[in-house]
Order: sequence, then C-alpha cells, then structure tokens
Amino acid sequence: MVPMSLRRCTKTRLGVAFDNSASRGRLWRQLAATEAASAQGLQSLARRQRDVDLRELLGALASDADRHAAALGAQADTMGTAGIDPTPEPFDFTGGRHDETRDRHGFPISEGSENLGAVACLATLQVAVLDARELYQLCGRLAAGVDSEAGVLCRSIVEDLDRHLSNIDRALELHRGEHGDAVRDALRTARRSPFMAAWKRTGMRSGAGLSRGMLYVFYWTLLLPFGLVSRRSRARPGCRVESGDAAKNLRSQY
Amino acid sequence: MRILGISAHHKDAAAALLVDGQPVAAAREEHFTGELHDPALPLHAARFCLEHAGISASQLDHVVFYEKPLRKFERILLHQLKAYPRTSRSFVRSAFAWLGDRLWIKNRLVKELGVEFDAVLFVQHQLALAANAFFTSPFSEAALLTVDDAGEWATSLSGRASKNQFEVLDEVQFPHSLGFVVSAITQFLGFVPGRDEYVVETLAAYGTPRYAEVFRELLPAHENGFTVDQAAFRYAFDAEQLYADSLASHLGAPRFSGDPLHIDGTDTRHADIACSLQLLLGERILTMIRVLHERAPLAKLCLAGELANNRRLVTQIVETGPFTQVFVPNAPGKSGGALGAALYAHHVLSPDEFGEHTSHDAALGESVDERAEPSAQLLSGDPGDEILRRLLDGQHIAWVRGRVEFGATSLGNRMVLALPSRAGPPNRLQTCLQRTEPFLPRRLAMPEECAKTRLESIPGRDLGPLLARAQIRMTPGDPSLRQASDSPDGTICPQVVTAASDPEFHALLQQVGTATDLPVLQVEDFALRGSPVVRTEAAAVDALQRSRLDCLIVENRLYERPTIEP
Repeated sequence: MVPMSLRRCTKTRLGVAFDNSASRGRLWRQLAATEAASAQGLQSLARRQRDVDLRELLGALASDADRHAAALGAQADTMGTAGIDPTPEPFDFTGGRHDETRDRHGFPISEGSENLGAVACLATLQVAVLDARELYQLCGRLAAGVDSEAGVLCRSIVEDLDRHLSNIDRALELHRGEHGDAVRDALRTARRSPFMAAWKRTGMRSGAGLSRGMLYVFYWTLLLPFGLVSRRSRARPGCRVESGDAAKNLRSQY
Repeated sequence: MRILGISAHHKDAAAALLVDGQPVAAAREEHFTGELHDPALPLHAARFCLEHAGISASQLDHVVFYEKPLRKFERILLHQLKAYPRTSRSFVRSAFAWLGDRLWIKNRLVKELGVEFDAVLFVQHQLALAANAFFTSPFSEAALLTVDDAGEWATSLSGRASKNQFEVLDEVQFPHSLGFVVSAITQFLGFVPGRDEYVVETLAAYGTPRYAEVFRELLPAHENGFTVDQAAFRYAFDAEQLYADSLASHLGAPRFSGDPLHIDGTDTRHADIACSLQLLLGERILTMIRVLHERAPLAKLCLAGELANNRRLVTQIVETGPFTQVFVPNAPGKSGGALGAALYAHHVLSPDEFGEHTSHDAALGESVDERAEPSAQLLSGDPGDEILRRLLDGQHIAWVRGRVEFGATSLGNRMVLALPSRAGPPNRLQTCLQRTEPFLPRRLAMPEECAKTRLESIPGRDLGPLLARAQIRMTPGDPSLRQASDSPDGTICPQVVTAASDPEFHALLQQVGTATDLPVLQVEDFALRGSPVVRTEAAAVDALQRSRLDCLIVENRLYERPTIEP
C-alpha cells in the first residue's frame, strides 16, 4: 500500500540506519518518539469521539502505541546511549506529508479532525496502520541479520498492527453496509490525499513565490515614483472625525 | 434583528451573535483552533454562535466586520511608500496578505458563511471598540476613550455617547500609536509583541523609572496627548521588527529571547525600561483623559482598546480622575471588537431602541459537554465541599463549569485554584500550568467583603465593576495577604467575587475563610503555556494530563490525573 517512491525512499533511509549500532539506536529512539506522540494524540482523539466503537478502537491503538514506544525505547537503551540524542526528532512515517490533520504516524490529529466523521477517521487510520505495518516489516527484515531481538520486536509490532487492521476493516465493513459510497470515497480520499495535498502544496508554494517575485519587481518599478513623492508628506496627530449618515457609512468599506 | 459581529486579521479573532440587541453567544477563534491569539477569519467561532442560537447563516440580518478594510489598506500602503526604499521586504509581505486575502473580506464572508452580499456591513475599528465598552456598561451616558495599536488610521479615539448617539470628539492618527510603542518595547525586551505585553507591565513593578526622560523624548507631549518619534520605531512600515536600531542608543542593547533578564540585584535595566514606559503611558493617557473631560464633562468613562488590558494603567486612571466611574469590558481589545461592531450596527440600525443593559454576563462561549468522559467519578455531594477538602490538603485543582467567558481572562468558569497558605511557593500554581517565569503576576480571588477591608480603597471612586481589571494596593499591615501575593510593589491583581454575580464561587471563598481565617485563593486561567483557555470537558481532561495539577472538577464530576485511562 505504501507508494513505490515512498517505499524506495524509506528503504534507503532504513538501510543507512542499519549500518551500525549507533544509528540503529537512534532509529529505535526516533520510532519510540513517534509512537509516544501518537499515543497521546490518539488518546485525545478517542476522548472526542461520540461513537463508542471508534472510541474503543482508538483507545486500543493508543494503548499499543504507548507499549510500542516503551519497547522501542528499551531496545534503544540496549544499544547504549553514547552519542545518541536523548530527545531525537520523531521518525516520519508519512514521508514528509504530515500536516495539520495527521501526525507523523499518519494518524488523525484531534485538533485538526474535529469535523472528521467516523468513516473518514477509520479510513485515515487504515492507511496509517498499513503504512506503519509496511515500515515495521521492512525494519524486521533488515534487523533479522544484525539484531535478532529487534527483529522479534518488529514482528510483534506487525502482529499488533494486523490485529488493529482487522478491527478497522471490520468497522469499515459495518459502515459499508449503510454508507457504501461514503466508505469508498473516504478510503479514496485517505489514500490519495497525501499526494493531492503534496501536489496542492507545491502548487500553492510556487504560486505564492511567483506572486511575491512579481510584487518585488513592482516595488522597484511601478512604486518608485509614488514612493519618492510620498516620502515628503508628513503625518501629524489630530482630528479626522467622520460626519454623515451613520447607517450609510456602515455599508462602505472605506 | 440577528447580527453577527466578526473581528479578524490582527489577533484574537472572534465572532459574536446579537439577537434583538442582546449578546447570546460570543467566542474567540483560538478556542477552536488551539492557536493562541489566532488571527484567522473566525469561521469556527461564527458557526458555534449560529449553532448555539439554533439559526442558520441565511437567517442573519447582518454580518458586521470590525474595521474598514479599504481604509486600512490605504494606511498600510501609504506608510510603505513613505518609507521607500527601506520597505521592499515588508511591502511584499503585506501586499501579498492584503491583495491575496484581506481586501476581499466581504466576498469571503459571503462565500464562507453563505450570507447575502448586501448583508455585510463595516464599522470603524475604534468605534467598534468604543461601542463594546459603552453598550456593555451599565451607563446610559459616558465619555469614551479607546487606546489601541491601530485600526484604519485612528490609533485612539475620544468621544462621548448618550444612549444611541455617538459623538467622536478627537482621534490620534497613525503612526502615533501608544499600542504599537508598547509592542515595540515588548519586542525590544525580548518578548513576543502582541502576546507578552502583560509581561512588560509586570516587570514595571521591579524597576525604577530612570529612563523616563528618554521616553519623554520618544513620546513628546502634544495638545491632544502625544506624538511618537518615528526615528526610534519601525512599526509604521514593518510588522516584523517594530523598533529601529537607533532605539539602542537610548535604551542600551536590545534583549533577545533566551538572554538573561536583568530585573533584580545591581542590574535592573530591563525592569527600569518597563517601569519608565509604564510611567510615560500613564502621563500621556492622563493628559488625553484631562482633555476629554474638558470637552465631555461627565462623571463616567468607558475605556477600551489593547491598552485597557493594562491593569496598572486602569488603576491609575481611576485614582487620578477626573472621571469618578470607569468601566472596562472583559474583552477590551480586538476580540471585543466583534461584539462592539455588532452592538454599534444594532444601535445605528435601530435608533429608537436603547434598552437597559441588564446582561453583563461574559459567559457567552461554549458550555461543558453534557456527556462525561469515561474516567469521570461522579461526586455525590456538593462539589464545593470536595474542592475545599482538596484545597486544605494543599492540592492544585482545576475547576470547570458553565460556559467559557468571552474575554482576555476567565472570571471563574475555567480556573485553577490553590490555597496560598498550603500549596507551596506562590509560583507553584503557574509551574503546574507549564509557566516557568518567576515574575508573572499572581491573581488572588476574594469575596467582596474581604476586598473592602484588605485592599486600599480609593476615596470617592466606585471600583465595583472594575475590580477584575485593576491592580490594587494591599492595606498596609496585612501580612497574610502580602505573603500570599509576594508582589514587589505591594499590589495584587484581585478577582473580586460577589454573591450576586457568582454565588457558587463566593460560597467556596467564604468556606475557605471559615477554615483558614483568610478567604483568599490563588487563581489562574485554566490554560497551559502557549495554549488558550480550555473549552470543553474533553479539552480540560487533556490539559489535566499534560499539567501537574492534582485533579479536575467539571460540574459534579471528578478527574484525577494519575488514574486517567484513554
């Protein structure tokens, strides 16, 4: 489910991380930081849900994320602490596509998801869990040759994620019975949105950059004579009291 | 008539709904987005107001924006041109924001809210602030003064109001702006302008006014009050750096965030700058008030604008006179402009309506959720008894009830409480909320009866409605209160609670008095560092987990921090 480019990119990053024990330690710590932050976010999201089943599902995910964070942290400790930043930047599961609606794990953020319905929330969770599962599978494979304990840990995390995935699928199936179109649309949006968001972001950035460039050119060309004239005028404190029909003034933007 | 007021694009964006002249709902956007002082168009807040009143946007008669966008753009553009060619970067920044978004506010309101194009109205910024102060005051006739950073051109307005009639007597024009000078000095001292002005006000208590002469040169007196020496400031054309480098030749090197703060011992330079600024603010504003009183010789004054948040200044205005009654609304700044714009439009469009303003309740925001969180424990008895028991045990408690208050501070519905004599050092409560600066002001809640005996009264002045917005001196020879406050200049920020306005909180304070001989609690807004005041029960439980508070009581439900499960 992880797109090819992302998979290749992640694989390269992970390949580098498995070069030596120090970088492996840093990776476990980064993963632990992401899991810990997600656990807190999922707890917060769970509290905001009216749907009891979804609340339980999120609670279970949060609880496991918390457990995974502790286990990954412990795994990092076995690598030794020399040269390892104790509070590293969390690992980005989304390949740089997290935004105000989803965290670095790809899970929905409670503040950005107030109006997110249950179906959309489940669809986002499914995509995030699939991505995470893929990543931990990769970690497990890479760790198998160099660090058997870490390999076992990754496999156990994958098993947990499989369990959550089946729960999410079951919940989506229930919704599919009544709102088949909504589920299809939500899943499509959740899968596509990272690409669309990235595409839109790129478009907006390039548009904004172009606009700023044009304004900068205007400043040094069109505004030059006005700027030179305006420099001579002086502001002074005093009265500029408006008079006239107050009701009519309300309609004016000036 | 249903009118929705909107304030946005500067800071503290807000929406307020008026039905037949009465405020029924008002909220700041920050409560919904979690971003402190959020300036974005308050669509969440507007939707909340409509939902609360049970109406749709199409049923609104008018949507009123709190400033005139074209006039403000004119001011910004002209000042960019005046500073040519130093403004290339700031021009691009401001022109991008204005041409891309702010100038089309009418279209955005029509599109986002779904109202008629003709239903969107605009009120001048200072008039909106003044209307907020006057129409929420208990007065039917009063002088008006707003002291703000800037709206369109005016930075300050003097006037008078009698029922529905507003008369503008004078305005101070941009770039002469006391609000921006305060923001510039806030930035000069290494704090965030637009957010940390209250910190500079607090620092003033630690210093002496040795830079007063410098500020007298920077803010020369004028027949209307003041002017500002533009050579020392850049705020007229640059929103990023508000002071000019030449200010350092007057006040020494600027402080940057993270640098040591010199407020005690042998070096009190930063506190001295803050103290000198506070002194000059008082001098200049008192001149404006004297001139205003000559032109509008009334007993009552309504004060608004960002500088009306300055408690020391408000107290100085009350002490010095000549106005004997002064009113400051709970939201005197930008967010109050939303309510003020709606109130002004209502009174202009319904000129024959001027009801008695009986509704002064600031609790206009969202109420706590009706459903409890799973980890809640139901209290069988009075929540007040449980709170008292825990306070006497030295616990720090968050107390959430009713609706969120509309304004800069919570007046009792979203508070954290501690008993000063039993809860450790005075700054412990602030530490629980992740605020670590040792010099932050401390608020003490006390019943009205206690305030009368333990705070210095000002002869001939009625402080009643102002007591939540002033900085009052403690009565000399009252060691217990002084110990609770530890303020360097013997003043406190009181939160005076009356039996009529908040019987539940009043009863709790009386019980505290019976148990400890001092009916005083240290209080703070229930807001973690960098976050707005909590809104809902779920947000309160969230904040409890992140804080070091001992427990949270929401209505009759108890949450204890260590035992909360997802």
